This record gives sequence, C-alpha cells and structure tokens, in this order.
Amino acid sequence: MVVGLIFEICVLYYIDRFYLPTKENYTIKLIEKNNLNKNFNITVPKEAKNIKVSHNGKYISYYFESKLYIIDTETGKENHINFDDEYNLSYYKWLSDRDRILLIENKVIDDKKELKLSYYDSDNNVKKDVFDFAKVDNKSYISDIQMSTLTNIIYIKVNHIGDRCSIYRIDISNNIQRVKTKHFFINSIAELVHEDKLVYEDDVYHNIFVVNNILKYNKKIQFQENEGYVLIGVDKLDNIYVGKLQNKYNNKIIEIYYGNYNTETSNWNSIKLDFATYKSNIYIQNNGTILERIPIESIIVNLSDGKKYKYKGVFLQIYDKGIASIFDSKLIKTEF
Amino acid sequence: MICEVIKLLKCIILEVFFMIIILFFLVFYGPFHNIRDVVIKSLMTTMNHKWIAELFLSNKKIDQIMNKQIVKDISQSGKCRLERDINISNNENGIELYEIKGNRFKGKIILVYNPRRVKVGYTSKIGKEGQTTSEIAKRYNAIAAINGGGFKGSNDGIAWAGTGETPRGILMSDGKLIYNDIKDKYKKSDVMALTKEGYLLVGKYSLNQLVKLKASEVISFGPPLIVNGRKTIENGDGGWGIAPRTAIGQRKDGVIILLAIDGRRVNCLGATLKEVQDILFDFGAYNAVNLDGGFSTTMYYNGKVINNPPDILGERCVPTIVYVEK
Repeated sequence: MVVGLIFEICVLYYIDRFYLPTKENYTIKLIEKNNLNKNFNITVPKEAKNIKVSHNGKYISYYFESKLYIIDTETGKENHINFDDEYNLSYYKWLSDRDRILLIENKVIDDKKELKLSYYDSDNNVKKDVFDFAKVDNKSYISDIQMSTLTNIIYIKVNHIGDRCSIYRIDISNNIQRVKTKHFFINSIAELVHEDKLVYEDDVYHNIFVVNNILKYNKKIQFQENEGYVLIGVDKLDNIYVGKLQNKYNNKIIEIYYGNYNTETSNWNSIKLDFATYKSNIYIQNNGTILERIPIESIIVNLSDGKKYKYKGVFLQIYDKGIASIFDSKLIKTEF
Repeated sequence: MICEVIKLLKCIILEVFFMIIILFFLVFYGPFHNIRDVVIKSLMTTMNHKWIAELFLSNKKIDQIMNKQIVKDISQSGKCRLERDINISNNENGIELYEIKGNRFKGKIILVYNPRRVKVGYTSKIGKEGQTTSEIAKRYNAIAAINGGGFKGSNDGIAWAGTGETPRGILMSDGKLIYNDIKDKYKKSDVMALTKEGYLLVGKYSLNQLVKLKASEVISFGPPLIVNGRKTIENGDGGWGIAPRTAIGQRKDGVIILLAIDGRRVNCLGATLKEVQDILFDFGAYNAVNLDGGFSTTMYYNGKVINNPPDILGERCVPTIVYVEK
C-alpha cells in the first residue's frame, strides 16, 4: 500500500514538473501537394442576360443589373463594368483568339443614339474607350461585330427600322467607312482572317457575296442554284461555310458546302445532313471542325468525325475546347 | 486455497480503491498545481463534465484558476484594415497537406491557396440530425474539410447524447442566413466568417456588421487566436486545457490554414489553445480563430477522414463544416 502511494506521488510529480510545463516542440512534414482541378463553381443569376464565354472558356460574362460581369472561371474572381451613367451597353463580343471583349456603348442625345466602340482586357481588368464611330436612330440596334486579329479590321452591323442594315468598317488607324453593298437587308456577316474581305448573306434571296469597297470588289459566290444559300461562318484558313436551304418556305438547311471564295464552288467540299436543321445549330471551329447541335437530345455532334458529346442543362455556347451550358444556375463546361 | 485467493483479491481491490481516492485528493487539493489547473480547465470547457470540477472545488477557486489565463480581446477593426493587410493572389489554386507531430499531440494542417474556395457547409437535416464531417463534405463535393461550429449538446436533456442537429449562434452559407439564434442583429459575438472576396473575419462581430462586410460564410465560434498579426494569448495556455483542436487561420497573402489536432488518447493527449495559436503563428497566420474541438475534431481530405477522432464510434455528427471546393 505504501509502495503504491509512493509510486503514485512520483508519477504525479513527474507529470506536474516535467511533462506538462515543457513547451511542445513539434515537427512539420509535407505530405502532399494538390493542384486542384481548375474548374471553380460559377453561379449565374437567373435574370442574367447575354451570357457568353471567352474563346478558351476561361472567362464567363453576363449582363445583370446594369453591369457587365466578367468572371474568371478558374479562380472565381469577379470584375464588372458599370453602365448606369450616361452610356448603355448595346452589344459586346469576345474575340475569337484572346481574352478581350469588344463593346459598343450608346449614349442617347435627343432622338439619336451615339455609338461608342470600347474594349475590355479581362486578364488585366482594363477597359478603354476607343472612339465614337456613328450616330444612329434611337430604334437602331447592333446585330453583330466581326473582327480579324491579323488584318485588324472590325466590321459592325447595325440594323435600322425595318431591318435595313448599315455595316461599318473600322481599321487599325480608326478610319471608319460605311460598307457599300448592293443589298439593304443583310442576314449574317463574316470576315476573312487573312484578307480584308467581308462575306455576307442577303436576307431576301439568300445569296452569298464577298465585298471590299476599296478594291471595288463585289462578287456573288455562285452555287448550282440562283438562290437559297445561307452563310454559316468562316474558319481560320478562310474557308467559307454555306448551308443550302431545304426550300423557300422554312429556314432549315440540308447540306453544307465549304471552300475558298477564289475556287469554283463545284470544287468545294460538302456534307449532307441526316436531318434538316437551322443554321444556328451549326458551329464552325477555328480549325475547320463542323459541329452540329441536336437540341432535343442535348448533344453536339462533330460532323467531321462523328463523335458525340452530351451536355447538361441549358445550352449556352461552344468555345474552343468544349461546350458551355447552365444547369441549376451553375456554369458547366463539357470538354471535347 | 480459494479463501486465500479471495482474500488477496479483496486486498487488491481495496488498495486500488484507496489509491484512486487519494489520487483525486492529490490532484484537486495537492501541491501539483499544473495538473490541477489543466484538469480543471479541460473539464470546465467541455459541454457536460463541468460538474466533476464543481464537485471538488468551490466556484470561487474554479474562477481563480480559469481567470489566470486570459484571452485578449483584440478587434480586427474594419474592412480598410483587411484590404490593406491581406493581399489575395489571383492565380494560385492548389492545396498542401502537412503532418505535425509534437510530444503530446499530432495533427494535420491543410493550406488552401485560393481563399475563395473555402466555404461553410451544413447538415442536410438541420434541426433534425447532424451529419459527419465527411458526409457533409461529400455532398458539397469538397476536396477537403474540417468540422466547424458548436451545437446544442443534449438530447431530451440527456447530456452527451446530442446529435449535432442544431448549431449555436449564426450560420451563413453561400451568402444565405441559414440559422440565427441571436435575436439582436447589433449584438456582437465571436465568429469565424469568410467574405465574398475571401477575407477571414475573426473575433466579435454583429450580424449587421457581417452583412455590411459582405460575409457569405459564417459560423459562431471562438476565441480568436491571432488578430491583425497579434497573438491573443500571451500568458498562460488559453484557459481551455488540453484537448483535440480544430482551427482556421489566414496568412497575409490570403492563404487559408486549416488545422486539426488529435487528442483524448493515452499517447496523444491533445493541445492547448496557446499551442494551437503558436502553430498557426509559425505557419504565418495573420488572423486565426479556434473552432469546435474535442470529440468533434475531424479533418477530411480527398475522400477520407485523415485524423483520428477520439470517439469509439469514430466521427461525431456535427451541424456545420468548413470545406474547400474542388
């Protein structure tokens, strides 16, 4: 009993004087480093408009509550451009090969709208105003911007009342010109990458034209029939992609032709579609891959090699490396 | 022969019984003050074992022991200070896992390079049932997580049977106020919060202040251990005794530090608040706060629980966690 007591007291003494008071020294060892999968959860507000994704999917942008939001999908960092002073946002578009947005803002003066061209560099969060390039009617609106980073020419299509169009051409020195075409009603436009030539589709008869006013060049691309061809797009090699309308009464295409405007269309390549579809369901990648979206099945088909890709939720856009969609208010990227 | 054995057994049992009684007396009334203080502090900061301390010592004596160590009350002082002192880099995105070993404890630390990935998650059955840290983390598809805040500890008044279903104080997740039992929105209390921009808030804040600072993730807990680069515990050990610990901190470059230290085992007793503070300080923490330790301490990483929760049944069911988005 006494032995037990002595033992107990010794143990308590040791704990009290030596074990507890000594400052804990500890060692640190690195076990693992994990470079996280770079997809951050991005939530897009339900009322967001004009949701777009940059060329490689790095940024997502949308217009919400008078602000244009630009969000880095890899880190979640949010930047925005305010539009509540005198300028409103008319239109914006991401460049096809860099992290930059072209914006067109408008300021209403009396019954006219003054249009201003600006750009926004998303990597550095810098917005710069370029210049005021036109004054148009209050009811006019911007329908498209096309640009080439090789020729540095920008084409801007403005639709006026009754859908008559004006196309403005702006070069690197900020010279502005109105493009003269034989047609007032223009559907799609596209710009060649290596040459300063504009390709457009007239909205009445549906024919494809290539134009350059300075060179006094204006040529119709002649296919087998005299009308019924829609412009889908242009690739990095300046191939023009044209769809053949099924008939005069609906807007669906049944075949796609593509080639260079200098060669005879009989020598162009062609793809027949299994089912007629709208040209808005056809996407041309920079490298010439033709993709078709089948909305009912939520899939994108690569018409060049037949591969299918399923996307989740509401389709947003196709970018270089994949498909962007919104599901449950969250951005989903499905890579090819 | 059998009589002899029974007699011997009776002797031994009696002896052990006396030894235990003497042990209690020696610990609570003897000259071994360090042991007494640690035991009292550990007991008084548990949910349900305060009565043991109160059985042996008067409240006055207990207060005397508890007050010997004070955690200083330092305030973070506003958004301008945060924006000036904390510089969140926009390009880093990874996480790092460290193991830390001391004589009396071992634990793990996770560094999260992008603070905007750190969020608060909660049990899907809030108000009814808590869930384990790993279960909640999997639901949020987290790469890593630690347990978060405290909870009401009794079940029908029965201590130690709390199922972790009801948090205490304020709970905010993804910008939404999920739970709040502090009726006065101007009343300040200890919190751990993360703002939309990724700043870690520690110490006393009111709900009103948190909303103004755009806090989107909030758990009520404390005390803060490091505020604006200053340690809150300079003397003593923090007053909470030795136990498993969970804590979170943020460095000046925005990196978030998650810590979980095991304890309540013979070869791994645990750590004091001061030790947790010092470890976080050594890792560069500029602001840091204590989270719920004890049986709840859990760290989840890449699909598994990577620490050793002391409960026989493993992880404790909790109402809230702090997790890292994939």
